[in-house]
Amino acid sequence: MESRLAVREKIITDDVLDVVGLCCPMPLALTMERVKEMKNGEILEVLLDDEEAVFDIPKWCKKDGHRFMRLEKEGEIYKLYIKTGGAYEHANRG
Amino acid sequence: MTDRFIEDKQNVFETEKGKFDLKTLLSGGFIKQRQKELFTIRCRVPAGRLDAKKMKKIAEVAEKYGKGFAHLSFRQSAEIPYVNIKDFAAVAKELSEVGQTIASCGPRVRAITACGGCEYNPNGLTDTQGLAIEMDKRFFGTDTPHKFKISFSGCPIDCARTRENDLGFQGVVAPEWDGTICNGCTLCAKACKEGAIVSDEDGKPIFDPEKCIYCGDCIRVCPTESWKAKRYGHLVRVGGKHGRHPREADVVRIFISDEEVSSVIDKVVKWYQENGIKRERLGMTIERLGLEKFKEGVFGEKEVEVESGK
Repeated sequence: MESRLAVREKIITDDVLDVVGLCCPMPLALTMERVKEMKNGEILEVLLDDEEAVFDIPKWCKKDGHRFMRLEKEGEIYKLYIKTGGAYEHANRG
Repeated sequence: MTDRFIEDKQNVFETEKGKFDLKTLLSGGFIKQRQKELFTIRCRVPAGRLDAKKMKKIAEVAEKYGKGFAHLSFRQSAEIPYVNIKDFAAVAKELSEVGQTIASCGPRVRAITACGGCEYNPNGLTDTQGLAIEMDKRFFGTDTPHKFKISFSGCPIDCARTRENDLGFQGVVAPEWDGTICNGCTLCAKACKEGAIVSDEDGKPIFDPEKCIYCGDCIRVCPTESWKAKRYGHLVRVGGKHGRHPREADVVRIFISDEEVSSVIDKVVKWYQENGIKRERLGMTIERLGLEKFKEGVFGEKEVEVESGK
């Protein structure tokens, strides 16, 4: 999966949040705080290694109206890309 | 050496109100204890759902006639230990004031067990609570060659242990992918614990239905709702048991609807009544006659197509 993803177009990010080493609920809590400070349409990259947060953050994005763009993995570190306030610009979404 | 608790082999008791035969008591959920004349009263709690008012009454009865505690049985019944045989009538009457009935023991359909199901459990795919209560009303107490246990689990995690029951219904959901709205985030491939989804070079899922166990994790995790539920249903397992020689149930059907559940129970119980011999659990009857014969007798088909989903 990693090598395949490497060929994908890189996402240009506006901000990076590093929560590696923190466990639930800190990664989600800090992501929520950071997203609040950002403008609509900006892209946040979250670096983490907590297995729970990999699912909790996208779930929160859906509820709060942000677009979860991609999950990548580099070694033990997950990279989550979030477009703030971007959930509803997607085609076919009501 | 004689076990002092087993010494007492008396089966018929004289009381002020007449004779009690232990055998008839057993069918009613009165379980003889080690201690002479003391019984455990098994209260029927289908789906493990116990009304607060029944809970209060059980507590009251336990304080008045028992030792002030209840024991939660492994199949979700609330049992009141240390009730004296002379108090049976009074206990049954008091419990019935709030509609609390006594569960069963012996060779018959037992109280039906269930997990939380889709009503309040995030993983639940089927209404296990509603179905278990409804089916318990219809089938509880039906005489069978040996004990007959039915359970409902809402998802493949199978908390209600359908694999260890004579007849089990487990919730399943078939996923369906809509490529037009997928943004290739790869979250579904990460979420799928069965390896049924891998991502291609654009992050889009490649689905292997052979490996899918129909849990719905991909549907719940998808941020764009590209993964949707195609259909919900029950996977049917038969012939499981625990005890000293556990037997894992066989999967005989998949994606049956809520409406079909009742007729499946009816057919399986009838087949068991006709083909089972006394004190032989359904799994043993199936082993003696063959699974094919069971399927033919119950579903009227030689080869029932069962998709993966063990």
